[in-house]
Amino acid sequence: MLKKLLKYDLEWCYRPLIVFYLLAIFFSIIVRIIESFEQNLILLIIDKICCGVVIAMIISILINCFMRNWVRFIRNVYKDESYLTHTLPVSKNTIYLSKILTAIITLLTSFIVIIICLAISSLNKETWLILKESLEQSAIYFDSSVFSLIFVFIITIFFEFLFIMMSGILGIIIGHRSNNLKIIKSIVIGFAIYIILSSMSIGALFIAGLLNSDIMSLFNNIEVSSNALKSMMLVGALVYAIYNLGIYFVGNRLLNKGVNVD
Amino acid sequence: MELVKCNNLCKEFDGKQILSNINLTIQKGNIVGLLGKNGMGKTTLIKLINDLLIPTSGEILINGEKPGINSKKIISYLPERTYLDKSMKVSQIITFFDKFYDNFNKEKAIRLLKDLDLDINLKISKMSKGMQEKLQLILVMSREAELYILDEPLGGVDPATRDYILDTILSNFNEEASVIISTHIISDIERILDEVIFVDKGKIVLTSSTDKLREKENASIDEIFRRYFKC
Repeated sequence: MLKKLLKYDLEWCYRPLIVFYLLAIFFSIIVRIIESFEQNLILLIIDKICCGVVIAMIISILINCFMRNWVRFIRNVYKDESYLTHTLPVSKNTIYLSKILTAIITLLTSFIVIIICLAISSLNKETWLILKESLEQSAIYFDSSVFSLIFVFIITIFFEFLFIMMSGILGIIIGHRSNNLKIIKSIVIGFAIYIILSSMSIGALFIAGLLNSDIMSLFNNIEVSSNALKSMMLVGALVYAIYNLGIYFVGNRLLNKGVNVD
Repeated sequence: MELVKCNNLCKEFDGKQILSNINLTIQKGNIVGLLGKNGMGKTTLIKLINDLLIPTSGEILINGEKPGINSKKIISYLPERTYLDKSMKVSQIITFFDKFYDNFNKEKAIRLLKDLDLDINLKISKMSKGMQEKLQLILVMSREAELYILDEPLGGVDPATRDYILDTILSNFNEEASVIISTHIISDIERILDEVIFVDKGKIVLTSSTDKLREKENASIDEIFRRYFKC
């Protein structure tokens, strides 16, 4: 049943996202082609316009990814379509898991498309050499390999974006437990969850800093050590992973207690 | 055999009692009319049976179990509103039902679509509200369920189609199955009801077999309803 639900959820979320993916890739290629020609004023203007379109498409991909997942959740779990969702012979756990997996998959593919677009539009021989050099220098500074550096960086950013998505979903679940002003309450609660947990992670980092002078250098004006930055990235990824799991279980528990559809 | 049983069922919204102390038993093989004026708690009771609301207190048992996956397998529910994904085509929603419900009869659904002149390739967003309601009724009645719950099935339908819908209801469920029909349009449905339940201000005020009630009051159910709920 999870597979069937997931198929329909993904289809619904990807329908407009695919268009933005294709447009973003298309304009990235255009930028790349234009930049390969000898520059004149007209080409420069077209190049700048296309660069602007690529940036707009990347922002649209992110906004659409979040909005489509949240809107799908509200419609399927609390609005008109919930009359069908909750009368399917499927457990609430499965319904919830399908939504969360859809959020993870769409966010992941959006990340991949954004990276591809940036690579197509910006990476040429010159920028590649600069990037390679700075990555190698950073790797030496962090005492790690280039691969693990990129991996930890992308994972941390991905988990943080997923944390925003999950905070929104938990906000929707809690906001819809009341009988009025559900959408406003969902937004306020989702935002509060994000702010409170983010503050808690900074607080936790500060407490860790009391025990470790390297980490404390993040809060002082003194030079930040590579160890501190490395710890911050690793702790960040770990903390966001824990938050995401925590939010998942709290949401699942609340949803299993039952829903009051509109 | 008891199919649905409600014990001291209560539902409150913001401190307002919508249903209070509902005790109800629905036997297998009956067509039951859940009758009452608008806003008296009929839909709330139906939503509770379908696990769409959390009871404030009391319990509901379907075939002896609380509402859950097993009850959803045997209940075919037609809500008062349209619940279909508007971006889908009729053919896609039929495939959807076929995938999720083991007891869905696809051939029957396609036959009923033809009877009601609904195009299988039409997009749901292009259909009128009445057409969407017909489609939902077809989907619901094409399941071989043990309990059909129809909330205002005649609400948005023209009188000419009402008879067809009632015939569809009568001819599309087996004798072991039960039907709960919630409505305030009594005259059209009273001919098919075995039992009536009158709901007023969140309470069940009368439960009776239709024949006994007609005999006792020497009037049609419609007349009895009008007398009972006179403003």
